[in-house]
Amino acid sequence: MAASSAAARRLLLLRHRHLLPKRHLSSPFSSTSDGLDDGGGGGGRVKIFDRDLKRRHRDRAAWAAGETDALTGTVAENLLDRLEDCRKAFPSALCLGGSAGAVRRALRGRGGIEKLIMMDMSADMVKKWREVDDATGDGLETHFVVGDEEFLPIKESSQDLIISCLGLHWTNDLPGAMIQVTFLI
Amino acid sequence: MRLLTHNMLASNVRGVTSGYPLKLEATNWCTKEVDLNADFIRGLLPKIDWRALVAATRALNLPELLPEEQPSEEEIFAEGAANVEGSAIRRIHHALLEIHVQQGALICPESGRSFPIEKGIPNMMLHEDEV
Repeated sequence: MAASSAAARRLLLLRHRHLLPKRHLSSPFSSTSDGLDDGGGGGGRVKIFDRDLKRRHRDRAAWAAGETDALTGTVAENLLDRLEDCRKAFPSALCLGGSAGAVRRALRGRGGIEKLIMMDMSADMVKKWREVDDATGDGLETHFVVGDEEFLPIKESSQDLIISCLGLHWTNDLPGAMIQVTFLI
Repeated sequence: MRLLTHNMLASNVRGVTSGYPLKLEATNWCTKEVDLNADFIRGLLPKIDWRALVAATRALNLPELLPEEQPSEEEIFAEGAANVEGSAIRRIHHALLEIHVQQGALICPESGRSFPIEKGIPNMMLHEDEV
């Protein structure tokens, strides 16, 4: 009964479209004022991902995640495999977000990394990495920082290698993040 | 957070042009012994901002640990210096790697924004109105 009355109302609305103010009918893509403005404060930056929400997701993921994960372990393994093709050593490395825990486990002395900074937006995630590192430490100098990949809080020219394993696809401004990454090396 | 980490962190609050070095305020810190690796220090030293490191040790009330001027490479990496108690390389090693700031804050020199250090992890996340 309720469903049919709702359908009738919708039909009525469709019939009387011409009575509605015009701007409500126009597509957001053809409109000049609607759809483009996000309500201000964005400073012209396009906001695709809600970074704050993402950070909270990662906080939660930190509690839910197990010690090891076969999928991220395999991805980290494939990524770090490339270090074996390099003759150069990278004493100072920075690992940005994503599965940094898997990178840390899979590193096993590759790339000549002597000091690793593990950074993530989520404080709980970083805390978790630290707890794991404290328990299983293999002597690699590991540093922990909470920071945003879009606004890297690291000094210029201070790193030899930047790794990100499944971490940068949530950034709104990927080119901006990559530019900052090049400054760090 | 080791002082080595402090040496590499910078503030990037919107509008700040040189958010470096961050002023260190430590309410709680400890030391943990680490084996000295002279080659590691040798590779690291060119990337270290000496003044920022000295300022950090002063902030921890350790004025005697490091001299104002960086010692010469010959002095730091002199034969056998690593085994001499109180030698330059041992002091640098201690300052960079053995001091852990557990609780405190990092202050942006330009905007005065305070980044908290909790349980040894500095939180450099910016608020939405700071980016």
